Amino acid sequence: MRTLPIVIAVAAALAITAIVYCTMGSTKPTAPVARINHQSERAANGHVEQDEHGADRILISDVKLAAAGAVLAEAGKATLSDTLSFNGVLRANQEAVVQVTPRFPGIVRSISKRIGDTVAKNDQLASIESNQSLTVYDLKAPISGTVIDRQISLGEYASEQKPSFVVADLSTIWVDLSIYRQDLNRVRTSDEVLIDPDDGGADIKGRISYVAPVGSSDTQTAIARIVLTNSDGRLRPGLFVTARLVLAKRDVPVAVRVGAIQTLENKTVVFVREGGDKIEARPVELGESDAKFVEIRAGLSAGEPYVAENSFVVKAEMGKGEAQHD
Amino acid sequence: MIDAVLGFSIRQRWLVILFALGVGAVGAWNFTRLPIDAVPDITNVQVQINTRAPGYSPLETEQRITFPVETAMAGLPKLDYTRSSSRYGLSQVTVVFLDGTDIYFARQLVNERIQQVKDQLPPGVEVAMGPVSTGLGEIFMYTVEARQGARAPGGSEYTPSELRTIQDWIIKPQLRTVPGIIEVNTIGGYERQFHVLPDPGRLMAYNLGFRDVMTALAANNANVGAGYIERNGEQYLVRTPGQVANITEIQDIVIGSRAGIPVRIRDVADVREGKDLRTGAATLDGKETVLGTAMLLIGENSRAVANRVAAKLGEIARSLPDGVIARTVYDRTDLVDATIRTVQKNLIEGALLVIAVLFLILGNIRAAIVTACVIPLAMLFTITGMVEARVSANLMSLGAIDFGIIVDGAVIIVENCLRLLAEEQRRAGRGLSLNERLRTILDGSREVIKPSLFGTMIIAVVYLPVLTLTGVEGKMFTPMALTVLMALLGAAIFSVTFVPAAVAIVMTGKVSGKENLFMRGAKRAYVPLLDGAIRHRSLVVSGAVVIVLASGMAAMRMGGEFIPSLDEGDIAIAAIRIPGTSLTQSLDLQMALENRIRKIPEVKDFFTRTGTAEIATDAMPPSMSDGYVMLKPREEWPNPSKPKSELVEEIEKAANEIPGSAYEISQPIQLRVNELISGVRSDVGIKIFGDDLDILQGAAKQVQSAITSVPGATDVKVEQVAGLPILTVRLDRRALSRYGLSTADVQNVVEIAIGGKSVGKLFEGDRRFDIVVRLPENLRGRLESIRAISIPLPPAENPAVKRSKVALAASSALQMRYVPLSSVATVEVTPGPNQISRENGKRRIVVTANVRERDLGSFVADAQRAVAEKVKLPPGYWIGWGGQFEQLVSATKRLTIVVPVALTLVLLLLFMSFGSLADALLVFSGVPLALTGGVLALLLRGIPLSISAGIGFIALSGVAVLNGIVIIAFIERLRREGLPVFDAVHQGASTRLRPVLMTALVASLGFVPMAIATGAGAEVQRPLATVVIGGIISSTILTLLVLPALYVLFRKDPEPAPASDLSAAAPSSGVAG
Repeated sequence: MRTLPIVIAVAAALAITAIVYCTMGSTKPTAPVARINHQSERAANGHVEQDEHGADRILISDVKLAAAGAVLAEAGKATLSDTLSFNGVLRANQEAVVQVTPRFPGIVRSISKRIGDTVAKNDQLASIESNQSLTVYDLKAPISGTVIDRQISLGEYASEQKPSFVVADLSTIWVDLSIYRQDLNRVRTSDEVLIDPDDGGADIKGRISYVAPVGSSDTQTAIARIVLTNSDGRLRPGLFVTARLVLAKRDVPVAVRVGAIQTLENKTVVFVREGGDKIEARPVELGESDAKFVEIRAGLSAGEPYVAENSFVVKAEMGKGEAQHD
Repeated sequence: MIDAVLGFSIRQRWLVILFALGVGAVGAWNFTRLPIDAVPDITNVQVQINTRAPGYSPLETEQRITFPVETAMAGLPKLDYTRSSSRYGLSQVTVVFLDGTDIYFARQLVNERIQQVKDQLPPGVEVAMGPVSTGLGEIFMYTVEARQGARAPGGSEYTPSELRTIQDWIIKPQLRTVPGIIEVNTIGGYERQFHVLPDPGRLMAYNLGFRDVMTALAANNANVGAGYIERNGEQYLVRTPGQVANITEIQDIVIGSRAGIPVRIRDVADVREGKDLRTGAATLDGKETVLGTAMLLIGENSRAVANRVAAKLGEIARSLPDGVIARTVYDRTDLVDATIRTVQKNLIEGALLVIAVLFLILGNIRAAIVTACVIPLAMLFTITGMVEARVSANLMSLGAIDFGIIVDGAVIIVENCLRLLAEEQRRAGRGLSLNERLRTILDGSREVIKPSLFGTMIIAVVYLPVLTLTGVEGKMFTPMALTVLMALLGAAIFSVTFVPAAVAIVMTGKVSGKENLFMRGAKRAYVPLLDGAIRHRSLVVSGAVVIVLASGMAAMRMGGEFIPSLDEGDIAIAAIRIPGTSLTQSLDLQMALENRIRKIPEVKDFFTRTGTAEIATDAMPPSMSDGYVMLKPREEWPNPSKPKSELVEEIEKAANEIPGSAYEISQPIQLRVNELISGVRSDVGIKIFGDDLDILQGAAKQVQSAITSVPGATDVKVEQVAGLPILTVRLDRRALSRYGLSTADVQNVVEIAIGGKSVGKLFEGDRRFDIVVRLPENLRGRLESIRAISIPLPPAENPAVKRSKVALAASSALQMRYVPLSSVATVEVTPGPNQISRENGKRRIVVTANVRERDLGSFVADAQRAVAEKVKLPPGYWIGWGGQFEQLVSATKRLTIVVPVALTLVLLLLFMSFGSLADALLVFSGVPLALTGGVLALLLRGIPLSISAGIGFIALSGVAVLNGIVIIAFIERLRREGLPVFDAVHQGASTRLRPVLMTALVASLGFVPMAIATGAGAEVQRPLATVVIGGIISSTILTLLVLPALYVLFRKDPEPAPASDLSAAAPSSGVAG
């Protein structure tokens, strides 16, 4: 059969053709992008290592940190002073408020003081014709102060049941702050308070003179009171104010800036600079904090350099190996 | 029938020419309608459903929006699959339809279902379908910037909000009217809003809540029409305008009154122009900017539309405020022009080369021109076909057109006519009469029309397997095959009609029978070689077999690349950061990156989108950025010949100097297309489906460890679904009940306080801006402040504490009916899901792996075994396997069936033509011989094996067979005429040297410009052209030498042949020569 060798030759040729096609078909579908991607990922994964305590370390140079705006600082002692904000209301000093009630009921014959008038002690406020004696007697100011309320008018029947005038001494004024119950244990008498009357002027300094032993069932708050002098009349009872309570200052041996704290795998960490471009994600135990500093109770000793600002960059650098585009 | 056609064409030659011109004219007209693009569009048929749900966390988004929407899409006709991702504030469901589904039909279906499901969605969410665009849709990008020192009307510098307003209300509305633009997407700057920022303390003082503020705002900002009245025959419309027009009017809205004194908004709140809580931002060269992207409607001509956009933008520039400019940062026209230039240059140079070769070999300029005329005609015919078949002109679709191959059929006919004409003239000893000429031409055409058409048909047949490819490869290469098939069809039609007609018209003069210098030289060199080959036939044949085997081995070892990537000229850098990275942080890192990259002298601009744009065509979280590095034209580079790969390396190195981000470097179109097709981009993807995210994550970890131990696995990664820090305000129901609050009371306050709530709009002409109530920035930014948000309590039931007119007299409990948030809820930060992905209606998590130094198929088998053994899933959870390997397996499977089928078909055609299996097989032997050259050429140029190169091999098979046919057919004829094998082979081979050389030379030279081109897009065409050139050279040499040897070896004369010395004794140039 003379075609046999041809058949064999062609079969071989076909086989080779098929191999070429198949090789072509089974080439790996890796676009160049993907390859670059993998490389960079491996590089990223490659530089995160773990020590025996399971703390993550990363190699990153100062130059690189600076490029991303990260700032290093040394852990050290700090004075923490935190503030709490409260809402409050200005009230007249209730110990210097007198309600002037007519001794005998009668008809008001004249009124000599109006609301807002300042009065000296024993100044005449009004004269009343007694119903019993039909004589006119004077209603006098028992203290010096300001007339802040008047409940009678001329010719009216003034009852002994009802105060006709309220006179208050506004030279001192109360600031009643509502303290929510979770803050109550942080508020003590003689704590310093800055009061902002919201009139554009400067804050007024004061000290807490009284914390109410009872709370209000309605609002679940208790009152803390500051007595302020009001010689210039800037403070007007009835107006709301906000107050900032400066919590007692506390010196702590080791503190870091607030911006240094990050969470990594559910642990609170500070990124600590070690020798040789290494940065360790050191788990720490936090203590008290204020707006600028956080106390470190364990995990970091004074003098160690750490990433103070933009520390997120380090966290991002550590985690970027796992980040992916989809 | 063909004879009749030939006869008709020659008789009615002028009519045929006219018809050819007509076809050409139609083609030229269609050319203006042909969509032109740089690369084929490989996006699948998909409809995105984007639902914005401001404030919803990923879990809520999934539960309340994604799930109902996705469920509603189930069971749509022609649905391929659905996938979804639920992120903060955004649900994106992508409905993918089977290829070939009409996009408008698909959208119609989706829209119907959206309407049905709308009722089930929470109020206030907006469902919208993504624009009718594809991965190639982002054709034009511009930034809105203020010139240095430009001042806004107020005298200050332009703020990002103002620039955004200019974009939203001046530029965008005009650009949207450009025909072919479906959408203009905006990212960057801030949307202008009016913010009402109540002071909680003052609200308390007035005993008001957020809700009172909102009610007041809502009730004081509407125009009302009140019908009309008639008066003295006139009709008066009645309206009562009440809309606020500016900040002062908002401030003066009355909330309520206290003892007759109105309390206005200004008493309790600050009103100012503010910024929205944006989901994304844009940066340019280290500064924030506003970026607009014009998106192309599917099926439009990107180049034409981009040009229109540019022109419109120029017009708009005149209506912009002084000092504000809209600067083009990305224009697809540049790329398209560059690639089209490359294609054009290649095609024209190829055509010129072909004409030159024709002239050189035929030695007759008229004949050469007639043959060359087939090129434009076939091309115009193809263009008509492309327009009809909706194939766009691009690098790929035009990349396989080799004019040499196209004119092959015509060349054979012209050559034969020429030969016969010369013969006849010599025989007659005079010029031929018209009739004689026509008859000769008819004879000449008839003689070779069959092998000519046949060769064309064979080339066409080998392209058929390409048409069966699906998926991405299909989208890339099917248009290519279609174009070639149409070109071949055109060429075939013209070679039976136009060519004989034109020859009949043109070849009037004397035809020189003498071969020109080139052919004489070629023949002088060839004949001794042929004799040698025939003499040492066994050696030659075994040598050929060895070469074939060797190149087969070499091919198997070659590096592979799936699909070549087009060099777009620009670079895209996707920056990926850990989930939970804030927008501000991302922007800081990105701007640092931009400033660093800009220092590279080749970089012109670097602009970036971070997060999600206004229209969520690409739903990125704020932790991701898509950056575009625009390069200067090469002439402006310090070293214009620097390879791009070096520059990319440099950029990558520079990028890695900025810590905090992982980078993926690609190219703008590539990036976008990848985002759209999405799916799993690595070799193997193991998808775990189920309900509980924690269990899924656990299972994924198990799968990860199982896969990692399988040899060959690299980059095994679990999709990151967790890690988004979520501030959870966990309400204490007991505390709530104590205060008599409902959960909604607290939730509302928290929502308004932190997220803000829109309470209407402020109109400035057409422009409308939201009025939003929320807490001042300094109070919503800190955890402490959030804990202190005051929640108003319901009025006390027991009015025991009478409110005195005078505050001082009352008990100090007074009206302080508020509790801080912290007394009814705990506020804690916990990591939550970053995004929830679903596929076909089920939650899924993907473990991806790449395979190195190992065959994918066996790896997958091993991996499946490992997973089955080591991973135990609870009921209701299952695993699916996917990834590129799926595609690969399907493509390989298809090709292993279809390629042999096509080759068998070729064999069958050959058998039909020769009537002898032996002859058919002999001709077929040219295929492996041709492949050797292709492989060698690739090896020499260091180009990896790719689908592109594979297509080259396919084309090659056709040309190789064609060569064989030409020779074998002639030898067979000579033998039938009674010549012995040796004589027949010798004479046949040397007579047919001219057509073989000619077809080979034109086919390979036609591709030379493509193979050596360096312009944009050249890298896509290079492998194909290289393979064809190399293969044709080898196949020609081998056809001319090995085929005769093979023939002599295997085809014996029926009777014992005369001694072999006959051939040696008579090295005459043969009867025909």
